[in-house]
Amino acid sequence: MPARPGVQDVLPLSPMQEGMVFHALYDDRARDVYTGQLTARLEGPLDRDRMRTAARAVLARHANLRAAFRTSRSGRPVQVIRSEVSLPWQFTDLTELPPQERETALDRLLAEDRDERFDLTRPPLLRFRLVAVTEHDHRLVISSHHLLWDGWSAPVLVRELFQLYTSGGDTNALPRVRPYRDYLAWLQHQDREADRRAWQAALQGLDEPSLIAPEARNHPVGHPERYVVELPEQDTAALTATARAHGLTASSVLQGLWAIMLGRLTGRTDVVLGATVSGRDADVPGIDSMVGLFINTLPVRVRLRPAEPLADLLTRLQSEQSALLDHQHLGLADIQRTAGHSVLFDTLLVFESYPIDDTGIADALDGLRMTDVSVLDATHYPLTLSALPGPRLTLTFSHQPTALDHATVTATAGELQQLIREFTHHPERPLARLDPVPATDPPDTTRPLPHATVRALFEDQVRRTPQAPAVLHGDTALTFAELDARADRLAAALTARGAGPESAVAVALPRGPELVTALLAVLKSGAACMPIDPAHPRERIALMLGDATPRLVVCEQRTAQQLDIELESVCEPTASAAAGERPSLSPDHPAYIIFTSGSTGRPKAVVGTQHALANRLFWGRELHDGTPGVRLAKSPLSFIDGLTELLGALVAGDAVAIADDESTGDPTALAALADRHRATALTAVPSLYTTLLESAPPDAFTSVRTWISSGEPLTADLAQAITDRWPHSRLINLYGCSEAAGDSLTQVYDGGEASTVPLGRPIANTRAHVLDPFLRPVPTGAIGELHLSGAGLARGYLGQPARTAERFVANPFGPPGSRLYRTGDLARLRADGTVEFLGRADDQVKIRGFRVEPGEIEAAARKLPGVARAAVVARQDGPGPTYLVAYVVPHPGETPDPLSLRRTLAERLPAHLVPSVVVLLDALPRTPSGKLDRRALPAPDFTEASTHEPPRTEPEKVLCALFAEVLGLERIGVHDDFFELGGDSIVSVRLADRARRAGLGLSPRDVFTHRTPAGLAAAVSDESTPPAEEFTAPGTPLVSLSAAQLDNVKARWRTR
Amino acid sequence: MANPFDDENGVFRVLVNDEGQYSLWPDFAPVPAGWISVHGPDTRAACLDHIERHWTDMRPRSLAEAMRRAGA
Repeated sequence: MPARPGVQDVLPLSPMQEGMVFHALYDDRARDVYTGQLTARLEGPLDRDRMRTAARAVLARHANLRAAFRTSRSGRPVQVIRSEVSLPWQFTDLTELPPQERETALDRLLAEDRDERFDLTRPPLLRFRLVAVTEHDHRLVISSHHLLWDGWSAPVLVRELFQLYTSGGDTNALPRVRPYRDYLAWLQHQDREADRRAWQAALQGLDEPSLIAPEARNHPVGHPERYVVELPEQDTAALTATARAHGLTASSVLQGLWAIMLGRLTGRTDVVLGATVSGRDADVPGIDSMVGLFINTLPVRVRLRPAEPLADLLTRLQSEQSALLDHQHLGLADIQRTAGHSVLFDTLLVFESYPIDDTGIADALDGLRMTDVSVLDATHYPLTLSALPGPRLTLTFSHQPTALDHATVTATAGELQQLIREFTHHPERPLARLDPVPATDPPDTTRPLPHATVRALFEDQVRRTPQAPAVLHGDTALTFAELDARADRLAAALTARGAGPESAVAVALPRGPELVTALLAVLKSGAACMPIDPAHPRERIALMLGDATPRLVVCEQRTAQQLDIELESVCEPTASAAAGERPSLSPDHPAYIIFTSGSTGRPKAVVGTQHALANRLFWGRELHDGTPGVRLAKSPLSFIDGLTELLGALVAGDAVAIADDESTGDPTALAALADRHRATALTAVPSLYTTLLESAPPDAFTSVRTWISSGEPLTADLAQAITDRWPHSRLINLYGCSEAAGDSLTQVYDGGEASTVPLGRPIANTRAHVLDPFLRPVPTGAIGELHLSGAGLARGYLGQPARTAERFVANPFGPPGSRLYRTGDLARLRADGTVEFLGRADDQVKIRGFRVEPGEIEAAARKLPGVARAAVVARQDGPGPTYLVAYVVPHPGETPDPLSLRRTLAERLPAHLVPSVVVLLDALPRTPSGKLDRRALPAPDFTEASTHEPPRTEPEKVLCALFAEVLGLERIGVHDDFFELGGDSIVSVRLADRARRAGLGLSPRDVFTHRTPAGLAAAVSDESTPPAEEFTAPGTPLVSLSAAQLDNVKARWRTR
Repeated sequence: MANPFDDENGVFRVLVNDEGQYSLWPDFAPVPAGWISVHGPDTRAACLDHIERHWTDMRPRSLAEAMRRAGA
């Protein structure tokens, strides 16, 4: 490019400069953190004009200090060097102020100066300010953009400035400047390909970045806060000596210890931290005395191995790093691209080795002494650790307060100091055995459990309130005494037929009083109850019965026939026998057998003990507000939450109002039921709450005093909306799983949560542990995997000792011989012991509160004809609910029909496991490390399933438009199936709601039954359509409903 | 997040407590109080196989003994 007047040179940017330009331009209104400020204190007589002349000479001497940063016509950023710029110089006289006000005034001045942005296009990107505090006490403040020079340049610059002050601005006294352009030229000649190969090798197989504040990118970068720790002299000496004894540099030691710290904070064993290198070992003569930006920020990848001794890790790290020494000039953006990640780290370690207390300077200035030099600069990273060597190692933790709070940073600093002590005292210790900082004591949750079996607990309640209502269903009402008597009669029949402790009795009944009686009867007999949803696919029920081999199945004859249950094991719910002697029951005997989704392709059965369930139910009395009430029981009984909802109400003295299957997901029907029974408590999953808020009638649920949410993360917005809508009730969030009797943590929502309501604190006799990959408690605020211990733990998985032994493991934190359950949930602890949910450690997902193992669906999908490979993921595209997609790769030469594949899956799997859509792919996309690349999976195109047949009547037209609206699709054909276009129960409620408002009286159930605009239009217009049949066990085949459809209606909702 | 129990290439032990309950256990971690190592260090698969073969009665030992006494 030809030189324009005043333009001396146009140069490319160094990689680090490119990164900084990006950050400066990223948000041009925010504070530019890469504005640095050097302050030198000058004591003694000062010639101000001479200092100004010296500053002007420095600016004239170094061309790169006159750079402006612009974008060239080709779009590349360039630095334009002006041949001349005027020196920004300001003098501020504080001597006029009263002495006690001067420090404050100075601080304010410095702060304002730091906040003043540089315009990258208007050189120079620096300004000098001389401040007189007294006649003989000055501050020289040099503010500049970090683009111009780095910390290693500061001593050079200060030295030159004072030499020029001494010489009166005569530059002949100084050696010739080696221009920055030489360095840029050197950079151009490096072998980028070799650099990229080296970095690619160094970062090979890295799955994820190491981010301690992943959400920080959403916040503007502000003033960092600083927390400074000085290591005592003795500790500093010990650190230096131990490092030397192992042939390690202090920098390697700190990098390694920081990596361990990062492992604890991120829960990862393959971590990456950022480190700043000086860049001054580049092969450019005289680079040591150059002023400019040479530093580079590079990833340091550290693989943490639990059994590796600390000193070995550090030695390995040092040698891995030395292999990269020749490639340290490659830009971070380039390295990230090479590694296939858009970001690698968000913590930076700066090992400063440029002390500026140069006594040589002081000598040069007759009478003037430079007593203190400080450099304030910052980075955009949420946390930067700067280490300044010296007799006392100084560790400065600079953090973005919006990303990390002060408490977290001080705790982190404490842990790092502890690690330094570990290194000096026990360098031979394996990583997993290093002493962590002692964690704060967990909350004491010990409470006596007076009745350690469910039957004892229930019978205790019967004695307290025999005449109170216990079961409400339609026009039926049973008192506690009546329910107890019925259950006793059936229990006697069960006992007479061999049921008892250590045996299982399945219960497959429609929702109603008989179901409640039967569950209690099984528990009274001492057997474990195994609830079965008769609407689940036959194959699956057969599999469950085959696994659990229950002694008896309590069901009606027609259900027995339909499910092919042998007659000798059927016990009708009306059976009774004279009471005989009841077998004694230990709290260690099983109380329930509940099947959950299994990652290996089969459902697995959790065997929970009497003691565990009794503990959960007894704790439920604590949850209760003291006044007998009515609880709406509407959760499917084949899930643990159904059991705890129903039994929990009874043992606390509440009546249960049992919702029919068809009511469980219909806001209008639920509201009517709640109103009819004046329900005081209701449990629902967040996705149902969303629907209730949207579609429940205005005056609905006014009798409810307690709302319980569980099954899925409860967002703060939703929680607030619930409490706003029903201000006189309380909202409780519960967290738990079948493996720990349903619920382990609880939180009463009291507002003031930023994003998600926490899972809460442990219930009675329960402890929560958040552990890192080395099974050690993580620091407060750090991510780890949630483990549970205490009374709630199940015996294990039925007939699966190995699976049990890897999930229920030895507990290092409890009484000798006790166990821990690994939940697979990621969490972090607040200082008060409250647990926050952060996602899953594995692939498990929740769909409308149902626990879903994609592996189970994948295994089913692989068994479909023509399918070679399958991957199932939960997607959330746009604001709609999460739904499942099965991606299948057919065998070569085969093209199976996705719709019929989905239909086959719907016949084999319970509805909550049926993908909303099946998508055919040629191959499954993989990440560089060979894992499924979820981000590369295409969003399903539901319009492919459309026939696009236009509507013929007005209702059809309205329904097509409503389908399109709620499904977010452009055009709908009259014969398009709601569920094959991605609809689900939540959207069905919305559709029914919209249809009602449009004057078409439809229920969510109609949507499940008729499914298409044509079908629904016919259903509304046909006045002679009989009222909906009683929606119970599918004993008699209903003409309009296939088994799969029935299944859809009943099980798509897990209404708690 | 990496969980040491799921590490297919990890080195493990098999632990048993007084109740005869089994636990897979990563070899790098100290054995918790009340548990003893009965197998390993070995591969994950071999440890799980050991558990599958030896943990044939999943009732806690004290319960099994109480039942035996009651039955006798």
